[in-house]
Amino acid sequence: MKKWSCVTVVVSLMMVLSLTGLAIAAEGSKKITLTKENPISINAEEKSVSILCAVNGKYFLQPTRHCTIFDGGKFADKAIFRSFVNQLDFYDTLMKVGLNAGNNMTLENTEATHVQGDLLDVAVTWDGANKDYTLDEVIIDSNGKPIVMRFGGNYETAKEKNTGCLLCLDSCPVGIISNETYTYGAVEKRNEVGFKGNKDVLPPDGTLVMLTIKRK
Amino acid sequence: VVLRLGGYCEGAIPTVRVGGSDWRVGQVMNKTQTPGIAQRISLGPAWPMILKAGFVGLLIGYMLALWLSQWVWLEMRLNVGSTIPGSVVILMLLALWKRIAIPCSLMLILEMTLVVSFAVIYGWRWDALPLVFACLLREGCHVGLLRTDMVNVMLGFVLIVGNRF
Repeated sequence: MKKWSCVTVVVSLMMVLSLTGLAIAAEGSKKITLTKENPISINAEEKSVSILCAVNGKYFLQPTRHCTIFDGGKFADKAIFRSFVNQLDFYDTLMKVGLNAGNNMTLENTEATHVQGDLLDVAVTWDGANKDYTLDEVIIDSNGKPIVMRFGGNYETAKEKNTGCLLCLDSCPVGIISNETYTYGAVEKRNEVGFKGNKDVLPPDGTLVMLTIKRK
Repeated sequence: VVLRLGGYCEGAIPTVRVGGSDWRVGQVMNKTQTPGIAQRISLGPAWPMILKAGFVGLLIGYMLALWLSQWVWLEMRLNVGSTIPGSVVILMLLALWKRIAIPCSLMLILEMTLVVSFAVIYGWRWDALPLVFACLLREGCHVGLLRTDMVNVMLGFVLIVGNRF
């Protein structure tokens, strides 16, 4: 009896000790201006839109097809970046800066169609970062292919499904922006590719980051 | 009167309070000593047994979540972390209802299996351990914005307390 108690205490102590990994903040010059109360902004001069998100460390370790999802959406836990901006507000803001949506994806053609729409640059930065990082730097494509983001649109489907999807990593009929490189199902059905957050570049889980989207 | 007891580790001899007297398990009552069927039988505080069952539920839930999260199709659609609070609640209710006896060795076996499962899935990457366990629990409890270090502190406390039951 005592033997079992000792062993269980030792096991639990080992597990607790291994659970104490704490984050070390990066030291750089970048500073983000957005807050949870004010999570979206427009830069009229650059015609860019910035949104506030939090890093989800879960996807440093396992693959996902979701880049950014609204905190209130059905799939909020499934993305590398959890956004504080609603997908519909995000769409409206992108339209305000004059971007053109592809709107070529439907729920029927999804596995055979690559997303269209304006080609976009997505930059990621956070407090203490050394620079604005590209999506290719912060997200690892298991095939090493570049991430090509386009403004897909999909306002009605996004509203109806309410998954909260803002940026998807394969062409998506629901996400507002998605990656042209792969068609839908590449990650979860056909196992063509897996995407993970780059833990060597991104800050620790829970850190607030700013994504800035503008036309390429 | 047949009393089924559970939730105690081997070695302990529980006593039962029946009609104002303490009875050791195994001690035989005759008809005159046995209270009426409507007599309330007090088994003493049940919470250690229920909490122990909850802890076993946590370990089983983690095991399920860990393996289910490797199925990408499912992981992208369902909250696999919900197996953790789900198992905790189910085991606690079962303990309350059926008074299941949970041997201490079962907890140890489950903990060892969990560590081995983690090692099989992620390799011996101990840096990944806090992230994986915290993220699964966080997702299961729908508190996605809670930082993993906070979750880990709570989890550490639960691990130590859970192993003392």
